[in-house]
Amino acid sequence: MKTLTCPDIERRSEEARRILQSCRLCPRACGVDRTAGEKGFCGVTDAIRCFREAVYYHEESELIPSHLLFLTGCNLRCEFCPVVEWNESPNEADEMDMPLMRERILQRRREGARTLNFLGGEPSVNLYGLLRLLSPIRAEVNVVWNSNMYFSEDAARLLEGVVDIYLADFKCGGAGCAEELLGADDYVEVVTRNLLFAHRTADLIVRHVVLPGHAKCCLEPALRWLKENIPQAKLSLRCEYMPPAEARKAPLEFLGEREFQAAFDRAGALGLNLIR
Amino acid sequence: MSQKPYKRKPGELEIRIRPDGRVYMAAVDDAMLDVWAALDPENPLVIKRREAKSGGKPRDAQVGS
Repeated sequence: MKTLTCPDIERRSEEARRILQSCRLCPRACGVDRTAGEKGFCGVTDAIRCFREAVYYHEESELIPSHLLFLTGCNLRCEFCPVVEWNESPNEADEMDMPLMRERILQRRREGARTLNFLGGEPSVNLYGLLRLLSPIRAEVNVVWNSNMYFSEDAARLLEGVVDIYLADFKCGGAGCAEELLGADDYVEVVTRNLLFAHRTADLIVRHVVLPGHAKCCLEPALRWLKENIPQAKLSLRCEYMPPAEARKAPLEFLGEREFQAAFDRAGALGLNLIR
Repeated sequence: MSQKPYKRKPGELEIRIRPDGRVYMAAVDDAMLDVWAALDPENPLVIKRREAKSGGKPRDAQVGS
């Protein structure tokens, strides 16, 4: 694991709070004052809300057992999101009791959790709260940033040295699918910039959930970009696509075994660093 | 039983069973992980989970660059 030093996490949380006052934590740069209770695209204020936590065994093998904290609030609108109901109603969850959650995190670690895995939603929209949560316990946990990687350069600067491992989605391969499926036509541009940042500053696992029928438009460009830019990065191809209840453009079928195998074979043929 | 996916509300969990018998669970909690463990008790991950719950020691993640 890369050695991280982050002596100034409290200062960073203060800087994150300043950014929230005219929010630009993500490329949408809504400019609302989340510290005053205003909400932008992600729908959350400066309060942090966790709707589920558990120790998982279905993450990549080098991360498990992994303590997952699901946070509300997201800056994308993925039609196939497995927790879409929380993105639509992010304030239904209770505000996090930070001392209690820290106790829970340390308890989970004592029970065997190797990593503390922040996801959502999107953890970067909760950066201020997460820095506060981590401040007294950072040295005791391995932080996994399980992210859609759609965050601003300001957010990236605050994350450097805080995150041990980026578990980074690379969802779509082009602007068309990104706009239709995620609601962000600049997704690929932002994510590729942040993948390079993550690779430079921490450990990186790139995750691609194989979408049925999206081999040419999403899988292939994503694999090619990895090959050309960070071929040594770990790549995790995932087959857990679950058709959503409501969709305009997202596939309505499960991924077939043949299609998943073809994706795996293609990544292997490109010489990418596949992990499970 | 509906053929159409159910539209979840906050706080609800979902288990979907495909015609071929495969089971999908989305963003599960501890109780659903217990269901998974009961359905597939010999799965190596289930065994690992059982061992951890019975007093495993914390280990550091080993992720090389």
